[in-house]
Amino acid sequence: MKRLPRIRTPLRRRLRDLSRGPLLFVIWAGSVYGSWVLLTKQSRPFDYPAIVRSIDYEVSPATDGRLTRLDVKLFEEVERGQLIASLDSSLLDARMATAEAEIGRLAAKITAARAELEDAAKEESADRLSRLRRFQLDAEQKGLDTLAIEVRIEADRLLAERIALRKRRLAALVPKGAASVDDLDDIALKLKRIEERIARNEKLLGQTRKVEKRALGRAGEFAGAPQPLSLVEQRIAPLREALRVAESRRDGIRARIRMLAIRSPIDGIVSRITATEGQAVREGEALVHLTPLESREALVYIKEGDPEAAELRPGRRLLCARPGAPRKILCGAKVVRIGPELVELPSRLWANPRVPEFGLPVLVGLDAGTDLRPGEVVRLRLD
Amino acid sequence: MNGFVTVLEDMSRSQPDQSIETLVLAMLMSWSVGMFMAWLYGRTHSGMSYSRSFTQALVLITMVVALVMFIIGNSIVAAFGLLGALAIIRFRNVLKDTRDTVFVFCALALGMAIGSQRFHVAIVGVAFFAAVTALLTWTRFGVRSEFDGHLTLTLSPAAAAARPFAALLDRHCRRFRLVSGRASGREGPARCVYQIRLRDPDRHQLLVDELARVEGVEEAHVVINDELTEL
Repeated sequence: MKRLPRIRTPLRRRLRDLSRGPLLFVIWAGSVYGSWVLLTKQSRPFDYPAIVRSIDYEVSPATDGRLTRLDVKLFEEVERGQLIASLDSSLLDARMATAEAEIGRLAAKITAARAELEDAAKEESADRLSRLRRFQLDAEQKGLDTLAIEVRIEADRLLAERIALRKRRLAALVPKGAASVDDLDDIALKLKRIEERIARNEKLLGQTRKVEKRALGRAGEFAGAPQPLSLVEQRIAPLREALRVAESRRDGIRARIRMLAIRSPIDGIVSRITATEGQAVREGEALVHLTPLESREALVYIKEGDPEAAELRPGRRLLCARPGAPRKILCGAKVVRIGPELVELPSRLWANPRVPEFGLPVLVGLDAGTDLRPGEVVRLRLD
Repeated sequence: MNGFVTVLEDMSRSQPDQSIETLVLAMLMSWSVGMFMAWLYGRTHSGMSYSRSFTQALVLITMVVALVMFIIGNSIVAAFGLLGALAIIRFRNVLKDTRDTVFVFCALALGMAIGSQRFHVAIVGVAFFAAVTALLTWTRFGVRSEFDGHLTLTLSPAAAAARPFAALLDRHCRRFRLVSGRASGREGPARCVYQIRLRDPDRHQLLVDELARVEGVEEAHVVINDELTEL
């Protein structure tokens, strides 16, 4: 049969036919794909509730006293070292003045004593010089005496040698009849007397040398004795010690006065004021409570039986988000330490406020740059 | 009484994710699943009660219910409120068409979303709902009939046997199917009824005219289906 040309299908008809089947399928497939993409991109739920740590700093005085001034207001921001409160310092101020006066008195006393002692020392120095000279002269005299004895001894020794020579000659002549025995006896007697005299002088020399040595020792000892002026410091040492004690007492009072000014230990906000001006306060009694401006730690609680609990080890990374906006990652975090036992969660973290929950507390460190406030509830999950 | 209210408040304390991303995911997924389910229904339906409106309603119901559950969340108060509103409307209006019910339900859900100050839910929900409704209408989703109408031919016995009009049918129709044939004896005319899908429905008269000129074709009659005839 002869084939006839086909009627042309209008474009609108073609599009309609296309839309009924293939296009609709493509749109449906695209929707399925989009659903899959969104589903897979959906982050894992933030399973772990956590509370940003809020460390409450109690600012208290280190001493008893009366609160004269409170320089901060509730919820005011304070800086570290900023003056928060002041205690009454009138008593300590009076003691300080007394201590200062005592120090002044002692200093003046030291000055006067020094002047007096120095004058006395100068006089003593002059007297000392003359005495030293006498010692030195005495030593020299003894030295001269020793020398004289030595000279005598030498002279006697020379004489003894001559006499001994004459005696030997006479002794040689006596047998020949050229000299008499009486002459020989006289010579022998002279020699004996001279030798006795030498012995006596030698003995005397020994004594004289000892005396000389003692004289020299005395002179040296006197010369080595401390100068009168150097003894001044020794003499005013007790006064100086008393001055030192007074100064330390004053420093102690000053330190106690400093303790009366109570300063902030941290940068933070005044969260509570528990004292009023004029109130008597005791040491350790909290006057003001401070909360840090930001906290870098949070306590996460891992529910009992959580399969991911085993992955939580120190150093493990986590992600942090607020409960109402789980897709916006606030910051990263890292496990610092893990608690030893299961504890009851704070009631704010309970899913049902009537049913307490228990979990393992884990301390995590939050990365820097977060704007989380202490006490804020967040949620974390493993990274 | 206070304890009962407290219990109600406690049960609604924890809220699921209400972000736009999750809402878009819910709408996309509900539409995808609803479309598949409606297609499955249309393909497996047998009997005379098939309704295109119902098939489309299946898709829309999936989305509307997803939207409603998104709005309600864990709030039992909202759930009871919706139940009461539905009951009031149900007893005050008899809705015969399922699609009408879906639209009423959607209006309720949007009102709840706006009333509970979840404006983004209402905006995204109505946008998705409108887009899907338009898509279903434009693509005529749910229409089972693939033919534009039917052609009735009165033929001579010779023409009924030879079928000289086959080329013409091929020229004018993308698809045709003989659905009935009747012969009036050996000498009497035969009548054939074809379901036809025209290449150009606007030119169906040309088909009739050309068929009338074919030898053996005593009468040609084309009836185009009205969309309203298929509910």
